[in-house]
Amino acid sequence: MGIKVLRPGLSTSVQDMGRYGYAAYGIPESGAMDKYTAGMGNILVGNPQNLAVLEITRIGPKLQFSTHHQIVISGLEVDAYLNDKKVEVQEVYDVNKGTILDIQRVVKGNFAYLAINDGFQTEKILNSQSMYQGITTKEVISEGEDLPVSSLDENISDSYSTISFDEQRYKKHSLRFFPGSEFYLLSREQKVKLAQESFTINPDSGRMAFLFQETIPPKEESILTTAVLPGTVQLTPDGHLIVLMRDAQVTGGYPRILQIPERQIDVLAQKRPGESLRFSIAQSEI
Amino acid sequence: METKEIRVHLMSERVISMTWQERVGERLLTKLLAAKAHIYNQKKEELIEILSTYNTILIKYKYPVKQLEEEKEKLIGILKTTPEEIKREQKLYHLPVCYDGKLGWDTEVIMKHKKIDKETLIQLHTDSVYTVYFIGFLPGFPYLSGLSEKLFISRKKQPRKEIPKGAVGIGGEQTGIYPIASPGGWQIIGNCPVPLFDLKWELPTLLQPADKLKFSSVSLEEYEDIQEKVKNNSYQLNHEVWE
Repeated sequence: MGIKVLRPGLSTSVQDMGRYGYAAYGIPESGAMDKYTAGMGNILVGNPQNLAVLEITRIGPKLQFSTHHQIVISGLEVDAYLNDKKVEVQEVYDVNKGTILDIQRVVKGNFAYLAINDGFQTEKILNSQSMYQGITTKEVISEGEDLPVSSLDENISDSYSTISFDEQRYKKHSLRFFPGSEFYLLSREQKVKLAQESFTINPDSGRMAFLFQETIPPKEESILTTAVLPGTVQLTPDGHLIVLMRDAQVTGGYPRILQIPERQIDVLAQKRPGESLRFSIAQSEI
Repeated sequence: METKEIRVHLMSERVISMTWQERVGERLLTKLLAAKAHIYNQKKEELIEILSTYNTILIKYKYPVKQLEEEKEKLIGILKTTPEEIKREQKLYHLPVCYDGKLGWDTEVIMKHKKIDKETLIQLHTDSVYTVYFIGFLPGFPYLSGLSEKLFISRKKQPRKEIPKGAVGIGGEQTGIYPIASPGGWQIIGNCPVPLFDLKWELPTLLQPADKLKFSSVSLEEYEDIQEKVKNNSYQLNHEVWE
């Protein structure tokens, strides 16, 4: 009763809200890069928001259903088709045996999510289905596999969710932040640069970290290896900023200059390479 | 315990860090573990997790910390009633390492750089008793102290794309074991056939903070024999209580 993967896409993985409580063993949190959008897909399809979804990165998968389901693709904009008929984001669709869903690409943002009634039912390791190398058997889905799911009871009533997707939050070009644990080590010059500079996202950005092209004046100061979190902004010895994302390691040795609030990590996750943004830093902090 | 030198910082909505200003070492490690245990006991209902590094305790809450000043006071209050040391049984693990050139990819480089022969390198690495400070970097990767100064060597300029599971390496002033295959920049001197990380165990990591470990040199034949035993679940890991 699975969903057959006809084409896996660029990097499609099963994600939920993350694997919490195992950082002391060196295990990353993982979870959906954009938790708001992933959760919205679940809510719209009538699930609790933390069920496992498919995370689609840029180029999507082609999937075939073997029975009746309800699905939602959540995201900013995608180019996707159900048996050649265009699919809209944030809309519930009924699919049946043999239906083919072709998610060609994510048009806006980096990630979109496929939510299905009752969630994807892949292996749960340490209380989470989020795929991560070395923890789950697989780190991405692959061609020919069957993704385990539950069929939908025929006589279930349609769930009409009145919640609407807040697209506005993704249009912002500045990120709020907390001063990081080593913010106090920054010079005035560095803080001013941090406040004035626009930072452009580097193409090497991914589930572990987002990188920026611009630099701020570096500081030849290393710190003892210490704990880091998704959203921690580190300053490298050559002046680059690294924003740690969901699959980040649990410890790091670069100064933690900023911390991006949880909800803003979702917004950053959807910024594409080449897009730029600012860190909104209060004058009083400089 | 004394709380004057602790910096309390709201790291994220749901995370508070407490950083001790004093010198990193066994004394501070003992203190951090006592503090961690005490805070956890009194707050476990509110917490996702609590963990420690060299000089920091990280407290992860289930919900955002709304009243920061109040929470800071509570935490400091708990520490004031925490003894500097909580007695707990410490283990000393004896881990076999094969230093054969087939597994120790960078042994020659270190010998040349340090002007020592292979026996000396092995002796320097196996003589020390190492202390586990915390687990980080990779699932199950122990941060160890106790490496002989004579073996300090900088990381490779170009990190390797894949270091195999079990690889024993030296990076700067630290030595460690890669519990899973990973890219990495450390100088590799051998391989440990005993797994450090397994999701089937009750705790996924063999080593815990404050555990001690000592390496013992094994031949390639012994290494393969241990590998075989590990596979058949017949390997007996050698450990004792550390006094």
